Formats: sequence, C-alpha cells, structure tokens
Amino acid sequence: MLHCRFEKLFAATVKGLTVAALFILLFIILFILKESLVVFRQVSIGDFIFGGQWRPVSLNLRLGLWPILTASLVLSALALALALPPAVGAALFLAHVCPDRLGRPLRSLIAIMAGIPSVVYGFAGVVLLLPILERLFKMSSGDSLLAGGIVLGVMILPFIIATTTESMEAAAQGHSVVSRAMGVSRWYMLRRLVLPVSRMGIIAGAVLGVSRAMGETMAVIMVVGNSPLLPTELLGRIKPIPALIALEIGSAPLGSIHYHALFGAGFVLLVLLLAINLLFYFLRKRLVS
Amino acid sequence: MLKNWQDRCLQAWLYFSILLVVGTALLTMGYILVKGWSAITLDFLFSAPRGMPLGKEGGVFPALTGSLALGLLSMLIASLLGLATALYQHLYCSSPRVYSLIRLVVQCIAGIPSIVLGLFGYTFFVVSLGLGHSLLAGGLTLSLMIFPVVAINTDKALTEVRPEQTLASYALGVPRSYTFFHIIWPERKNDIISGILLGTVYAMGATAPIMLTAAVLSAPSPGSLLRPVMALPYHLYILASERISMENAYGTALVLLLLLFAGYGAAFLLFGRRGEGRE
Repeated sequence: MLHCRFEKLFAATVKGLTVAALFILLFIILFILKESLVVFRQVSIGDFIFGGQWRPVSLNLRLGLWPILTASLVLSALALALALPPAVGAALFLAHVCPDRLGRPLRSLIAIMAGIPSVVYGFAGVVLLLPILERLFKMSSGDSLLAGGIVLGVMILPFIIATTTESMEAAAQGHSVVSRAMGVSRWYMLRRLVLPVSRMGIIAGAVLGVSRAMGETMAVIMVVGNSPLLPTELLGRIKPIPALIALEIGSAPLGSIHYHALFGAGFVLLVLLLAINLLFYFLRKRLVS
Repeated sequence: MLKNWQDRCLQAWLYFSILLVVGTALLTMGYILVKGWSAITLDFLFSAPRGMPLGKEGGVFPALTGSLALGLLSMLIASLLGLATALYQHLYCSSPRVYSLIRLVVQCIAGIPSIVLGLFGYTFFVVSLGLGHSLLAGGLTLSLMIFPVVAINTDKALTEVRPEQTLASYALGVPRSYTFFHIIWPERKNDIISGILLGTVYAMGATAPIMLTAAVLSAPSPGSLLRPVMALPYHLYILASERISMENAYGTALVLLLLLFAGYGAAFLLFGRRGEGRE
C-alpha cells in the first residue's frame, strides 16, 4: 500500500519534471524571440542581418549585424580548418594505432581538455599566444581573428576527436582481424578502409566542433580585439556575436532599442546553432543505425 | 614502393597529430601550473581580494566559495531535471518516438550557446522574476546549461542496465520506482554520480551565464540565495582582461584547474565501477 502511494508520487514527479524540461527549450526560444521582436518592428530582418554598420547608441541609429555575423562565421570556419586535420589524425591514432597501455591516459587527457573552462583557454591565449603573434608579425597587440581561430581551434579539438574516434572504432569492427589475417598492412587498411568508412563520423565531429566554436564567448572575448570590423584580414580585429552580447548588454538600458537589438543578435545565433545541432543529431543518428 | 611512401605519410600525419594535441594540452595546463604554483598560498586561498584596483593583492576566498555555491545549487536543480528525463525515458516511456523526441530536445538545449542562456537568465530570472543579480538566478541559469549533460550521461548509464533484470521485476508487478531504487540504482549509481559530477565541474568553470546573472566584482562569501556572489571564472576574466594582476590571475586559473582535476578525478574513479548490485 505504502509502495503504491510512493510509486504514484514518484511517477508523477518524474513525468512532471520531464514535461517541464522539454518545455524549457520552447520557452527559451519564444522568450528570446519575443524580446527581439521590438527590433524587427523598427528594422526589417533583412536590414538587420545584412546591414553593414553597428551603431546602437548614436543619434544616427544603425543596427546592421553583417560584420558581426560574418565575423562569427569566418572565425568558426578558421577554427575548424585549423583543428580538423590534427583532430582526425589523433582520432585515427587513438582508434587504431595507439598501444593499449597509452590508450586510457590519452583519452583521459583529451576528456580533461574538453573540461577546461573557456576563460582559462582565453587566459592561456593571452599569456602564451598573443606574445608569440606580436613577435612573429610585429603587431603592437596580437588580438586578432587569427588568435581567436587558434584558441578556438584548440578548444574544439577534444570534441571532434571524441566523436570521430567513436565512429572510427565502429568502422573497422570485424574488418581489422580479416585484413590482418590477409597480410594487409595496418596503414593500408587505415587509408583504404577506415578513413572512407568513417567519413560521416568525421563530418559529424566537424559539425559539433563548429557549433561549439560559434557559441563560445569568454575565450573569444579575450583574444579577438572586439572591434566590429568585417573579417577580411587574418590579423584584423573582429567582434563575433557572443562577444557583442557579453560586452554590450551591461551598458544597454533595459527596454532600449540597443537592449532589444542584442536579443535580436542572440536570436540569430540561437537559430544558427539550433540548425547546426539538428544537423549533428541526424548525422549521428544515421551513424548509429 | 609508392604504396609504402603513402603509408609513411599517413604514419607521419598520425604521430604528428597526436603529439600536437597532447603537446598543446600539456603546454596549456603545465604553463598555468608552473606560473600559478608560486601564487597559491594559504593566504591566497583563504583571504578576500584587496588592493586598488580590487584584486591586485589578497586572495580568492569569496570567489572560491561563490563558485562552490553556484556549482552545488546548479547541480541540485540540474540533477532533478536531468534524472527525471532519463528516468522517464527508461522507466515509463514505451514509445521509441517519444524517446527520440526527448533526446532531440535535450540535444538542442545542449546546443544553446551559454551567452544566450545568460541573456535569457538575465531577462527572465533577474528582471522578470525579480531575483536580481543573485546566487539563485545564477544557479538557475547554470542548471539550464548543465541539465543536458546530466540527462545524456544518465541516459547512457541506464542504457547499460540489462533488460532481463528489469523485465523480470516488471513482470512480477513490482512498481517502477521500487525497481529503480532496488535494482537499477545500486548497479548504475557510480556512472550516474560521475555524470552529475562532470556537469557540476562544467558549471563551476562557466563565465558567460553568470556574468549577467550572479557574478560581481566584489562580494562576501555567499550567505543568502538572493545576494550576488563572486565566482572564480569571472574573477579570472576581470583580473586578466583589465590587467589588474597577472600573478593573481595565474593563481586563480590554477585554482580553477585544480577544481577541474578534482572533479574529473572523482568522476573517472567512479565511472565504470560496478556498484554492489547483484549479478
């Protein structure tokens, strides 16, 4: 009898909390959308996204997200381009070449890498990377698109490696014994069997990496210089969307057009990332099945 | 001969990649470890920041306790939500469609960038609900960020429960809750707790969600849910970006890393270890 009452209570709690958790997503999306509508009533969505100037407080108000949005896109693409080759190489190593004794410590190290807070990566970028860039390119300050790309590239390494390793292990299952028995060299097998078969896994890893890179705030703020310029030069300063929100929300008065414009920028970022994550979800689902 | 040459290239690429990855990780952590070690003293850990501008001297005690409080609070809320969704998926949900839908939604929440969560927390918790910049608002925002971590890890842990155990118990008419507490939990609790720990460590290192909702430049150790707090990651950001004190910044970064190592160490020790569950 007592168990019966407890079971009812337990079931109701679990179900209730699950429904609540699911509605959180909808609530957050609608909430951010609602707050950005104010802006879209004043500026058309087209002008907001493709406008070339961001001057939210001047009398001659301009709310164009283009330089900031492209900065986000170019920065993530750069980070991915830098991270993908070593990440795929490391994943292939971990899945098929690594001696058993090294496997566990290496995987733990990569898991820890994924857990290092982004502000620590940003700090390491400031003290380790910026001085090198300054000396290398004779810049007065190393803050740049390139610095952001490198720091973000390092940050997304463990995520790409984890996803890719998983699919590479699955790719060779069954085949590796056969190919060894037939006297095929390990490297030949990796090149001709594992790499082509795990193509989807590599793409899924890349998609996850881009989604981590695009939403990243703290590490980016600390090394990109934060000027809303078009990302045309590697050594130029940029200001991606997360940096824009983090730096300006504190000074935007509640309810002002500036404040709502930042929500608009957040909404654009949210939609981009939801799309990327859906893509990742379906890629992974295809991989598993 | 040509094949051999291609094999060599592949081999070189793999070794170069893994060395680069490991080297970067060790360099980043090692540099902070070496530079931060001299800054960390008992006084640094147990005294409040002092000096002008604040943080130039003194320690990080309120930031450390603030981060622990934020971690604890978000862990409690996120565990409730995360455990509930995973339990629902495994105990009550009979349709694979609903199961996938829940996974999809959780995946999407995991994909919301932390700064957007911060923006949401700021307007909803801080302004609309009137919580102000406070430990509670920050904890709630962080819990939204780590709830998917807990949900996904618990889901994974529960997937490994062998169906013959639970099916037998359901067939006997044993309630789901009893099955969970007496069969599943003893067997899988280590993996579940390790997942929750990973989420908590993630929360303690996050800056973007709390810089708009909870963290301030200077505050005493947390005493009330409705007061703002200091937090290690935000403190580090201020020290480093305003160039207040690089020495203290190294120290703060090291304290953050040590918290991370402690959390991960505990999680690794627990993970994959079988509980006292029966075979």
